[in-house]
Amino acid sequence: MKKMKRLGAIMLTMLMVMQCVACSGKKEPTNDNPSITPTKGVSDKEQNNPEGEKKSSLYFEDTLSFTWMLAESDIPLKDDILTLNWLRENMNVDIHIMAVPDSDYETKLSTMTATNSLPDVVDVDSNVIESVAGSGMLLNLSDYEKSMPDYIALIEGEDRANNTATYKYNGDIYGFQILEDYRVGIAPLPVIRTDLLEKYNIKTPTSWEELYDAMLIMKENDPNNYVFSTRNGITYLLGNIAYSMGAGGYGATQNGFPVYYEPDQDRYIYGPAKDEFKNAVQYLANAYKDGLLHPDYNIMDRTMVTSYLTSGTLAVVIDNTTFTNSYNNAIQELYPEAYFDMLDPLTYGGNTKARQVTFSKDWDQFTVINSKVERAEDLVKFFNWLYTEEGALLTNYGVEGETYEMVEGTPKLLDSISAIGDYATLRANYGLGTWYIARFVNENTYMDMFKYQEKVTGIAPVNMTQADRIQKLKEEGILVHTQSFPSFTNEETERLTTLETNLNTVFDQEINKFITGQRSMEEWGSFVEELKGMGVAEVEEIYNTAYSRLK
Amino acid sequence: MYIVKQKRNRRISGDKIFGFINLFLLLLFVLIILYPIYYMFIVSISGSANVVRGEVKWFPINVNWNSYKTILNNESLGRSYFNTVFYTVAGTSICLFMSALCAYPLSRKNLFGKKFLTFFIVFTMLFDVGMIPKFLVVDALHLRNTVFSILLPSAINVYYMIMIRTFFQNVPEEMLESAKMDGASELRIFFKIMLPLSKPVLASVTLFYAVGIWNSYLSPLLYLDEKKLYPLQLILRNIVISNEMSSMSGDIAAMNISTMNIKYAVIFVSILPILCVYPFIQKYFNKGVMVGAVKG
Repeated sequence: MKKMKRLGAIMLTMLMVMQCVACSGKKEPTNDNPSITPTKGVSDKEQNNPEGEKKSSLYFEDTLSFTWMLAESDIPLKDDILTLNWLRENMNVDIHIMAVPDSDYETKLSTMTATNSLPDVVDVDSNVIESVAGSGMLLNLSDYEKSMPDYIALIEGEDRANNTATYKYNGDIYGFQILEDYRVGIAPLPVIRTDLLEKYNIKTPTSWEELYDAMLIMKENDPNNYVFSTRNGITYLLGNIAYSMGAGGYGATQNGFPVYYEPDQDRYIYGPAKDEFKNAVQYLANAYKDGLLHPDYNIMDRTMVTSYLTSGTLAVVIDNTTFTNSYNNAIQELYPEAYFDMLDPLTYGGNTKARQVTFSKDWDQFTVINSKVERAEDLVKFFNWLYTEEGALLTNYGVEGETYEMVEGTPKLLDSISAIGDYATLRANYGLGTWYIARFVNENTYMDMFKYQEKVTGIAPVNMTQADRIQKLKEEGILVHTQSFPSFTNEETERLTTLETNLNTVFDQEINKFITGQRSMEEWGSFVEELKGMGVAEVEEIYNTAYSRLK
Repeated sequence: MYIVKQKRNRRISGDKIFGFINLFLLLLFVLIILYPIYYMFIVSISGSANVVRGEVKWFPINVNWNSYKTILNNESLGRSYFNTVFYTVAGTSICLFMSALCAYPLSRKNLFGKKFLTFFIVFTMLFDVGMIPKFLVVDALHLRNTVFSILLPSAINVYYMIMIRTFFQNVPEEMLESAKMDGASELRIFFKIMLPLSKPVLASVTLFYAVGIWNSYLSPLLYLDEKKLYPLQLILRNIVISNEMSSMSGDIAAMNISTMNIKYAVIFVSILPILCVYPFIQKYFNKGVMVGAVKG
């Protein structure tokens, strides 16, 4: 009997412990009824700023408290962090970050949209706006245009109006897009071992044909190894070279879609059906035959391709220029003279001017507001503030004296902060920069880190020099930003899904046969006809009809 | 006589060869099974540049413990580790108790409406209600964002409950009758006779539940909003996968090549405790999983 009592007591204790843990989990605002909680009574301003000094141009008398759902990558996002604390103290804005693992953000988001249980503020991709805006779940920001003049001025600016218009749903704005103030330039360009070019006396290639010849020489000198590859498979590889050969689609900039915007014709085109697309396929088929393209090109992931590049097995990679610094750091331990650098956009087929598409100017990510929130206007004002100079300065550079200083009117990270040298840590420890709350992103902070690194080591990091080159190439019109897809109606989306799925299935099944020689390039014409027979014209029509609605 | 001896010798040498081949094949299987775990460990303690260059294959190079230092300093990892242990211990206790409690009456012959009740319960095995309805139920019961959203929705797994019931059925009715004659109540019979006699099946089911809860990913992802409640798997998956995904976006922020050794150190640390549980439960395990295999 005693034992029974003891067992009962243990179970009761366990239940109480669980209750306590559960209650502690309930303290934070849940998202059952999204509401912006105003705190009445004693003004927070008085509590936090006893002198009554208003440190920000925007201040809420009642605490503006809300939950913001953000994707969290491998670096933890915190509530108790420099930027958020500053907002609490100086604007009376209390943000509670709901960090959802990046890897399954979409699963959580789709469950929440399906059950209409979105938190107050959510970060989403443009396609979510397209599918959810019609349901009335999201706040229509166009109703509050007067409260967001800074944001409107930015998206209607000459440099981005065309692209931002594609994100409107029925002509209305439903999300605050993450916009570029300054971005460290990266582009999908070939990255090559320049030390080998020097070693074999090869002139820096300026055309795809010259690059091919250079790779042949590298192969002759090192016949046991292949010369180039990529990650993410064949469509990524094809896409990254097709545009500069006169066609387009797929690749890093199109999110894997075969349709792309052709500026020469001011219309959207299904890339693989364009005559010039054959050039890219032929190029890769030849490279495969000549032993230049690594036979595992279709299954390589980033880890695999990096290990080949940094161990000296491969000399060229067709990918973003993003990782060049990391390649150099790893390979130089083995071969101190080794040096990877990007090639400027390459010409093709005797053209004198190269053309290359790069990532869109702004991010394809938006912050949307739940239509059920109580203080919608205040929220809109707050998000508009994030796009002001003051807001951008806080979210990118932090607090003056603590993380940055003003040098001749320009913000500059303190050396102690630049010494961190790692953007992920900057975000994790101070809440600064991309992938956090910055909506008007200024990546000059990264440049400050590069410059600091140069000062300490005496060597300019390759990504820094590349950024300047890429900026110049953009100004010259050689590198162009990709244009986003227009928004489609539900019927259009449904039809496109069917058509594109069928087209992609056939394309994916057959394309490697052309590269590896299982199908002759002479059959390419009939293959394109087969694709056309599956609705290429209809796909293009849907895209261009949607596009014409924006004009 | 000589011929018989020679035949026997030949047979013995044949057996020996068979034994050697068996041994060789089994060792090969053991190697295939252990190598990935060994590989994760040697990568986690090797120099990151060596790992990036793909040099680590059989032995660690430039041995260091930096990745373990890094992850042990990661506060969210520590907290999620504690959460996972809590969910596993509390969840397994609840699951085991509820399953056994349900199984006991169903194992008794004289239960009124036994067939109907059994069918009613087994019926739920045929259909899964799906993610959204489950989410709505959890939400409507105000369990969302509490530890109960992890502990309660999966309190009974019908399959495991049936396993326990089958084991209970094999306990002789006479034993229970004699307990009743001595004045034992049903609860007393349950706690004092059934549970102690059913250690093998309970141990097996404990392991099944514990591994299931330890590895559960989707429920915490959907039902928990607060990071302080996240189990290890959410953090782990994020560390392992997100680098690959974020590097697609074309941001300079993705420029640092993810350190594979940190990823593997995290995986290693997270599987270690559950691996350690196996040897202690294994002796019950064989007995337990055979339950119901032979009717007699």
